[in-house]
Amino acid sequence: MRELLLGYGTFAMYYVMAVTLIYFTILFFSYKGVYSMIKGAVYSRFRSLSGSESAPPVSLLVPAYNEELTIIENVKSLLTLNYHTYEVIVVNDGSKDRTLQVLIEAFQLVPKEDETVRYAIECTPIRQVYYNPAYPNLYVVDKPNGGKADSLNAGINLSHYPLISSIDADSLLEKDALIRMARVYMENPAETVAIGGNVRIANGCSIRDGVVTDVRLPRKMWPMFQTLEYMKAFLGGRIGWSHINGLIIVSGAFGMFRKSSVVEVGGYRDGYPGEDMNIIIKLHRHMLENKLPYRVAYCPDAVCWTQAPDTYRILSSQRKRWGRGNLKNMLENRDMLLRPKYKVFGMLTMPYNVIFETLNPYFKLTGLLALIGYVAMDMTQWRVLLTFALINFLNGYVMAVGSLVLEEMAFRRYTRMKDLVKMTVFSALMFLGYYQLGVLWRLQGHIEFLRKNNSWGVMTRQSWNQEAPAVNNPSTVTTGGKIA
Amino acid sequence: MHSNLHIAYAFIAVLLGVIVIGLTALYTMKVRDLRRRKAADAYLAKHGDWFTYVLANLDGEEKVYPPPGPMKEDELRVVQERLIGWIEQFRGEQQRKLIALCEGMGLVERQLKRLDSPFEWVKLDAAYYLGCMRSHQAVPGMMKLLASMRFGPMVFIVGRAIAKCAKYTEELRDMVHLLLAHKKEAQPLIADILAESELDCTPMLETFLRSGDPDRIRLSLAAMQKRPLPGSADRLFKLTAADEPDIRQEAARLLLKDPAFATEERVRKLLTHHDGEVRARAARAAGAYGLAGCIGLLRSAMADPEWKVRHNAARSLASLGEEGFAALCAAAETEGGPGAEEARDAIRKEMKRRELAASGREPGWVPVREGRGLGYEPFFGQKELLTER
Repeated sequence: MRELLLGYGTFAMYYVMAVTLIYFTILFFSYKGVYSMIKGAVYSRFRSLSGSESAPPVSLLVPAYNEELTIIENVKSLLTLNYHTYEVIVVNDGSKDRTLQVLIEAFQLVPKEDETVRYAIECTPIRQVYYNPAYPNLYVVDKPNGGKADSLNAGINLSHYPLISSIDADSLLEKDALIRMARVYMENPAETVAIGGNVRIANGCSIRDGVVTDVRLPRKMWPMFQTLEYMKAFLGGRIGWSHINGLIIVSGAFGMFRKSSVVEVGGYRDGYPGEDMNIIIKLHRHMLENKLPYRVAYCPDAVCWTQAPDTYRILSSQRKRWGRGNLKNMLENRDMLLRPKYKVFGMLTMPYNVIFETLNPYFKLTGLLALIGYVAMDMTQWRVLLTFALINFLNGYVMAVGSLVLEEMAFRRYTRMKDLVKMTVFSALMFLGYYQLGVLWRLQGHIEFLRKNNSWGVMTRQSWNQEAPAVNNPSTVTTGGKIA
Repeated sequence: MHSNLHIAYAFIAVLLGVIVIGLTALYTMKVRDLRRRKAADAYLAKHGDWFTYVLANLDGEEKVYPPPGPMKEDELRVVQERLIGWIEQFRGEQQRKLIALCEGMGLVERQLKRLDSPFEWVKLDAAYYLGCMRSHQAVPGMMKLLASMRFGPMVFIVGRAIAKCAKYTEELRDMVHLLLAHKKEAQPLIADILAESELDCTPMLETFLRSGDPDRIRLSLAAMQKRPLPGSADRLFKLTAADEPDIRQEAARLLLKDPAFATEERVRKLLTHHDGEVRARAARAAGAYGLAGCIGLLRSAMADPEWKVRHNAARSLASLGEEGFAALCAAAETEGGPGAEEARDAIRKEMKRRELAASGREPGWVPVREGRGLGYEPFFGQKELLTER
């Protein structure tokens, strides 16, 4: 037993060293990639480009399930983006609430009889397409419930343009977000199959007429932790992964895709969460198997604001769903693991995800059991344990500080000094329970997967307009659902 | 164990060091940023009257003078940013006056010096500002910079700067060649960059269109998105026979977009093109421009293997008056499989449209309905058509 524990200790040490090395390498690539990304964005005159006919037309796909509280404001916001030619396709996925009715009423939509939907990819048949010539960019699709992936596939089938962009119905796009992404596409259209946008947490921010006007950190603990988590993932991770063309996910909240490539891979996978990761894996596989030059790019200055879960129940449900999705995707695509044919994706991205994301809870759990074993068998001292814990904390904190430096260097969205102090403090506090809960949720997600539970889980929406000031203010000012 | 712990302690010390450096950098940047914002606000307030003076005199004939007194480095940068913003907003004489003001303030000279810096990031920064200030002097330096750069977002920034500053078409041509050499099919973006130039690019684009180089042809086609090149119809028609699918499809799209270019003869030829995408566009154009002479070919297109061709042909036949409608009804009855289905679908939609038009008492339809019936009776009978088959 002692030998086993000692062996495990050695293995754990190498595991930590490897994960640290990879984290730092990716962070290094993020720093390397961020300069040209940001300078390219700063020097580009988006005002003129957004009005340019050279920008490729885009179809925005907005799957909506029980979104009656937020959908109108979000669609209004989407209809006023700074972009030359685009359409907004809202797909009502058999909502049980009044999502479709509020859309019909708000935009005075009528059934569009002359619309022909070409079912290029499989999806639940569309019941009706609604339209109003007064809003020529807006289409609303009504279909029976089939899930998010199915809704996106329906939207693709209806879409009229060569680029598609998926957007969550509870998210707000910045006015220039689309043109910023299009710029990245236009720089290399021959190879770009997908572009990820930057998702930021809107809780705490002031929102006026569907636009985030004053960026503030969330007041509640759960969204605050998620703000830092997103910052670390999107800035510290995705910039680096995209730099080596190893990005495994483009957030479902905001991403842009070349439609022909998505159709070639059969569209989004239906019937299971994690469709945003799955589509990217399918694109990597398709391009690599056919030996086609390609890239999955990332555009950190194209920002989408989203409502983060602010209760334990909803957050845990979301994370369990992510855990299930991740496991399903890794199992489905295990053949890509360590196969030179799949280049960076097979040799680095997949192993990283399997070992450090999917299997992470098991390493953490066995590590804990081993620690108990060391103590029980008198194989260690408190000083050793403390040292190991400190290294673990400092490793993580270096990454957190690295992401904050990236944010400050490149974006500076949180302008106040007290925001920075709060972020540095919460980055440390995350190690006292939040990360551990993340491990637990992922493990629970895996258990749900084994029990074949593939439901979407709990998700509630808060209106952006909730508790809006009632008088003397024609526009709405909210703070992540609360009065500013 | 003892030595291992020492390694661990050393590792902790390194990590702590990195964190301290990171936090120091982070807070230093934040403090500097806050100071910079504060200083910028102060400088903008200080020069508020001068900015008003500049704006007020942009239309007059009088020269606009720089602000009085020497300026600090940061102050000059804030003023420069404001002026650059305006240069990008205004056009014509107002823009020229602002550029002359920048020259007078030594901003151009200053950026020209930076263009010779050994550091690429300084050169890029300078190229951006020189582009905004339309400095022709900077073109050779920027061209050298562009030629030395690896592909990335920044090559387009330098390319745009050159386009803004160029005074001769050759300079634009050189810039285009350098950008196209990266082989990234970024023609739409390059076309957008060319549109920034004050020069007339038409002769250059015409040369490209007539060249045998697919990349240059693509660029011309992309530029024609905004404005068609005069007298290019024949060349576009020839390009519909290009080997590259994207070129022939784009050529067909541009040709058929313009009713002056889309003559019946050309549309008829394109309806029998080997590329389904081209046939589909031609089928749509035939209906859109009311080319009744194409009805026979459209009727044949109802048996096309490509659904898009059948779909567009059906819609066009429906819109080509009674003759077209009769051909559509014939297709619905005689074509087998998807062709007939497409025809029936188009008939249903057209009937619905006519019903709606009739209920709204729109002229044009009522006499047809009352006088000659709906037009499909000889083929189906009234009830049959309106139900799904």
